[in-house]
Amino acid sequence: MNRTRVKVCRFCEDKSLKIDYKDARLLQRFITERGKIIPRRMSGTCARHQRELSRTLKRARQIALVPFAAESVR
Amino acid sequence: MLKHYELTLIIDSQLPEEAVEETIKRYETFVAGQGASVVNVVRRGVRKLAYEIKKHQQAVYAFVEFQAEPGILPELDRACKLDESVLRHMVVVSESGVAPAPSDAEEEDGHAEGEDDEEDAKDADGEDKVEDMDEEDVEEEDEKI
Repeated sequence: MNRTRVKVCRFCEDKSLKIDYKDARLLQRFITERGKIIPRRMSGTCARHQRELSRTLKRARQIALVPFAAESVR
Repeated sequence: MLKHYELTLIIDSQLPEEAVEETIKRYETFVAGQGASVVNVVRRGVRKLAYEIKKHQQAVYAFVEFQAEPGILPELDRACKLDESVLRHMVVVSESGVAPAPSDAEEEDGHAEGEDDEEDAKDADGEDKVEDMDEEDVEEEDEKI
């Protein structure tokens, strides 16, 4: 695993970026091909925003704006 | 104590436009009738669903923001459940400044624009996904499990 990368939390950097369950486009960036939520060490988000992201993603899933699971293209 | 809520409605897309409109209106009036105030209604139009809901592949999305006493929620819930044109609903306590983003390319209708602009979440260097080189790592994780 690459330890040397310093990544900043996107949401901390840009305060106007709101984590919104309705914003499917933004949320898509935080799930894998299979639909799994990207871990914090990959996405670089801070703890607080990761928690918020997680909560919001799960809401978005309920509303079918984001999948629960997706078949990866093989 | 008055609280801000947001009701998400997922409506059958096969219905004619008036029926859809009427359904949305029904909840607007329901909310108003219960002594709450509707703050905003956003119609997202037809959108492809991330997964099948009740055999539908796409549906109409609408969002009703309102302020109300928490007491009316069970009633609202009941009303949504009984409504056959509503495939799914969700009530959420609003964080301030709700700004529904436009859906993806599927959207055709023009009147469904939200108030705020959608943030184009590309990085400065034009990255699309958050993880660039780590993507393979994440996929490997998928494989292990």
